[in-house]
Amino acid sequence: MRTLSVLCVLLHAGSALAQAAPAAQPEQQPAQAAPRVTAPRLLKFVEANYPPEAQAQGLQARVELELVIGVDGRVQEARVATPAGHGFDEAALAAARAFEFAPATKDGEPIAARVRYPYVFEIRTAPLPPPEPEAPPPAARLEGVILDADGEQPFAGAQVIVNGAALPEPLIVRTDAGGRFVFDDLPAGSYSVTVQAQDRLPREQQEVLIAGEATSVIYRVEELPDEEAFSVTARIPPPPREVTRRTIGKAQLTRIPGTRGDALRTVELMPGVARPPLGSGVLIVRGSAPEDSQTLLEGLPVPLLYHFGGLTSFVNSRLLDSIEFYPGNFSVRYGRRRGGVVDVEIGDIPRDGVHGVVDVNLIDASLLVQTPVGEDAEVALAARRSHVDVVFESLVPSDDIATVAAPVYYDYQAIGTWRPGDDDELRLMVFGSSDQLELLFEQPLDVDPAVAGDFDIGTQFHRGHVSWRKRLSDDVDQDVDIAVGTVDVNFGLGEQLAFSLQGVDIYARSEWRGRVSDRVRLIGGLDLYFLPGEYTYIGPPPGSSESNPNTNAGGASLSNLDSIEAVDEFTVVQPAVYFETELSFHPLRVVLGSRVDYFAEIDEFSYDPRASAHYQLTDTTQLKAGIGLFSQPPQFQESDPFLGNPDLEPTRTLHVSGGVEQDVTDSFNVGVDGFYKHLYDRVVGTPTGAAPRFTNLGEGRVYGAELSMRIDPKGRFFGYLSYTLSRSERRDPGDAWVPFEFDQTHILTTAGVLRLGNGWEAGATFRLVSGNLDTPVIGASEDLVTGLYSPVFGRVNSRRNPTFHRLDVRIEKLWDFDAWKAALYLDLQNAYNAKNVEGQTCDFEYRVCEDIQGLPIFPVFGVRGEI
Amino acid sequence: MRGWLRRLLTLASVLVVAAPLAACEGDLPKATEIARMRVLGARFEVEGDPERATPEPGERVRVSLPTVFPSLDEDTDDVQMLLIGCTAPTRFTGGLPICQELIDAAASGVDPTDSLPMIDEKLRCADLPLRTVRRGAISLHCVKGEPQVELTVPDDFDAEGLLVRGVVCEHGTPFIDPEDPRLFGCEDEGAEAILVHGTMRVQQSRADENQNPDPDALEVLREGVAWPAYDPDALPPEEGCARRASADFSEPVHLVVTGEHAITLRYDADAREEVDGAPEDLEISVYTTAGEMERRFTLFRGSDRGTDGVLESELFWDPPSAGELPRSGQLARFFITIRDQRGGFAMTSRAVCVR
Repeated sequence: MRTLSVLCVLLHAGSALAQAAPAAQPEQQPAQAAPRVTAPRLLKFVEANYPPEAQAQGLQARVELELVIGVDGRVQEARVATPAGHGFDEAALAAARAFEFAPATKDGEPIAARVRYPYVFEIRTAPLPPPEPEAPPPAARLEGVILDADGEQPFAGAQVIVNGAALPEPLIVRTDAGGRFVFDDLPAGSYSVTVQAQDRLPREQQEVLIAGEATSVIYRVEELPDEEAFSVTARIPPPPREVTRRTIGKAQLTRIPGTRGDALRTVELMPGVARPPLGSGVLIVRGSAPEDSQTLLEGLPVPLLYHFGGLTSFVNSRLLDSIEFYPGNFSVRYGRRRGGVVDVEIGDIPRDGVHGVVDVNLIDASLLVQTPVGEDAEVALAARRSHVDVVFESLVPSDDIATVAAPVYYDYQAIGTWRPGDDDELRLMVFGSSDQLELLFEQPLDVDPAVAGDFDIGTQFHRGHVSWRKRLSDDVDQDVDIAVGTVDVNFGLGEQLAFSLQGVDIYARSEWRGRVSDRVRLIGGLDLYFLPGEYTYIGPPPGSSESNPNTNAGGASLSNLDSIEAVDEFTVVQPAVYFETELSFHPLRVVLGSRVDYFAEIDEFSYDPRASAHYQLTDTTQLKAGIGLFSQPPQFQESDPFLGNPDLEPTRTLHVSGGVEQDVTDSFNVGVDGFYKHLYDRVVGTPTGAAPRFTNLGEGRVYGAELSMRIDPKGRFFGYLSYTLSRSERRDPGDAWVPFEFDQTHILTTAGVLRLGNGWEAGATFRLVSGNLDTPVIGASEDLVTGLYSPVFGRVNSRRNPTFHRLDVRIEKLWDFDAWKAALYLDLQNAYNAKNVEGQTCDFEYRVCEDIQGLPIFPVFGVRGEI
Repeated sequence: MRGWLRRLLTLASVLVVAAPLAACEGDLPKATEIARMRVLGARFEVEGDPERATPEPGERVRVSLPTVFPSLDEDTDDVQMLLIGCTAPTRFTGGLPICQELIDAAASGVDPTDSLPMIDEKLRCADLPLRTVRRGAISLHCVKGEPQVELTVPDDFDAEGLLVRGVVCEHGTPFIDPEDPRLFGCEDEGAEAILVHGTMRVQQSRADENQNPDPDALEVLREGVAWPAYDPDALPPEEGCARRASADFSEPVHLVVTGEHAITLRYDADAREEVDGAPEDLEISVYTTAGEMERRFTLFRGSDRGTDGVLESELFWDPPSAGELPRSGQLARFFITIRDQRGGFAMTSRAVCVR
């Protein structure tokens, strides 16, 4: 026996070839564009010393090396990428360092190159016959199989391109039904082999072919991330103007466990976002109240985000391209909010044919169809309807409650895109949503005699949104968005609580972005929100959104509260203008912005200056900081002339934040952010609702830090880890600082999704969060007229529920047929059935209280079909 | 606006989730169960016109709090009450109503804005020598035994309501303490405290007048048989109830073995007052010392016309199981309250022997 080193060679290839089915032959056609870069070519091969012990044991091995070949063709660096042990690694390294190459070239000029080099140790069973000295140099042969990495199945139709210095032009073959390919009669030397297969990541490999030998290889190709399956445009995000921007890409949107595939739910896993109370679906960003943050679709606010307050978002997640989340210090492009912003972007409609998705699960069913229309236009249609109504009536105790209309929601989206020219793109979106439920309580519920009669809830909105993106010149772009729609909301509970609102809401935004020089960019824009409408309200006088429950109807029964009735017409007019300058002096980039808003309902202007800076410390390390003012109009009930105080001022918040981001690898990013917010002119209710009912005398403060780690979906795995440590407090006039009701000191979230292969995918999300706050009841007083008790609350938000923890799991199996795909999935929420406490409920006189348990283990099965 | 909408819709969503669970029963005590001393309401009776619940300025009114106990062994002999009265707030947005003006302060000419702070220390009924004590501009009404007081509405009282706040104590001494967020409480170990408050509507015009409901207009049937009112004074407590039920009191006290029983409430539709040209709503609750009631509230809406002039509703009572009862049986008493949701109140009772 003697040692033999080869490069991806199995010496019995000859017999293997004899048994193999005929493989596709080279088409001998040139590639469309010959590469200008050539790979290094091995000139001097050095045989490694076979490790004696390994040889004695009959061990063989393959050591994957990573070599850096200098411009002189010598090996400058060598390291083991895939070790084999048993002394093979050291032997391979020693040999490889003595290799000599013809250097790689770019446009004919030698360049340094990094290559992978598999060094195979094999015990030769029989010596090769010595070459005939008179014979011409024998040709080399490259043969192999392309396998799908997901299922180890042969991949037919893949394109294999071989290029090397010895070839006048690249050679191309396609794999046969067995995934096989063959290149015969190749000159010995080094070659670059590229594999391109549909819906698979391109793969490039360096191979060295030896004269008279056949090199047999197996290449595995990995599936493209999901975004490629439905997208035709690669987007390179611009450098962030915001201090903190967290992007959730298409590949992640529908795959996060615990979200039931709902893209917008993924925002709840981001750093700085508190866990919403059960069933609320509210967005609580960096200690802000839910109404302080806003979700936008294509840059414009949406009337309602979730069906029934938190069940499912109103837009088909597979239409989305990405979700941008700004937890603070955001651009002046966003206004009227002092918390955070979520901007949801619709993706491009594929131009390569008809695509469709049907999804049916236990809660709802949805359909999505996307297709090109001619060369310059595409259309997408989506719709969803719940089927909770099928089982709802069987759940409701029919003796007491009559179901007039079982809960039903539906939504729809129709999107058309047209590019009339190279510089214009028009998009029309028509979308809407509807929720409806009506129950009839024959007799009052035990909690309150006012809870009787007709209970109905209905929300509907329909909107048309036209956006026009135009390139005015090489340096100036213009975006115009106009959305017009109707909003219809009604809610009633017997005769003592009713609310209805009908309006036509109109948003308009026009923005211009220009490049003055390489260092100066400008953004200017106009922004208008206009809502004429009418409302009816019957019920207790509305309190402020954040207040002491002892003065704000906390826990009080409807029967124990005074009732008012208001019917009025209203018009909300909120125009704004903003301007932003971006100055780039590498490595420093500064963004200065100003925004002016006018709020007609309170006849007040606000001016918000904002600034942020990014400093590129190294290629992979970035420092960032920001400061700015953020203004927000009072809530409707707070400034309405009848219900509130029209003389209020806008509420304001100062944001200060800073942090560092580190790209550990191309796909692994770590960031740390710190923030402080001070809330000025916070609206608070007056005791007992006395005139003027609301004032701007409250204040608040929030401070904390966020740690985020992110692995992007470039391979089989992606995941997040985020931890937030924060404190959010409020102070009413004359009172001490108290924790804000949504304050959560610790928020730890981690999520990961792994493609297992063969169509299987599994993921898990784990959350460990401080319990929600509660104001304890320290007593109660019986209303002698109604017989109902009114609670007496203790120190505001001084009781905290036990720590919340939950594991969600998602498992999906995908069958990939040629023409379509089918998937079966299970989204298992609260997998180990943690008994989380969401609050307390008390008996009629608040003497005995018990915990309200959160969501128990909740499996949702679903099936999906895709073309 | 969206935040307000969001909150409203969040509430609605919670109700959507809660609706299917509405009939689910937890381990919490039920409101219809009399397991300890309970105050079931307040009856306002104008002096000289006890059916009227709305005094005019200058009139004297008796405020009595019907107090019941789970056992006939308990009564109001060991009960004390402390009440204060004041002008009710015109707008009540939750929590507990805050006195706007003490009525005695108004009567004595003291600046009402100064009157509230005059309760500046903890005061106990035990330390007060008189049944009604003036302290500065404040009068504290301390009562022993049957919890009832008489108040005089000042002649110049021009508010819509008169607010009373206080505490009813069993085995304890009432106190008022401005430092205590509950304001009232009961001292002594083992004392039971029921904080109370309520607004009595003051009749500023004839249109404000409100009569207490008529308990005689209510007919109660048990298992379809007329169920006469129960007079506890006519049935003094002794061991069990079977002997007396079968001998001296076979008529008012019925024998029950086990099983769910239907209780039918019938109310004379014509006995209702007119409010703004339509009959008033009536809300009836049945409380029991034993077993479990199906629901707490039975509502006869003003729009209900009834059948042949009679409003009727049925609810079920689930008696205690045989294993929970003494051999001689247990007297189950029922307290039925009638409210017109505008301050009018009446109460009647029934009893049945369970064994």
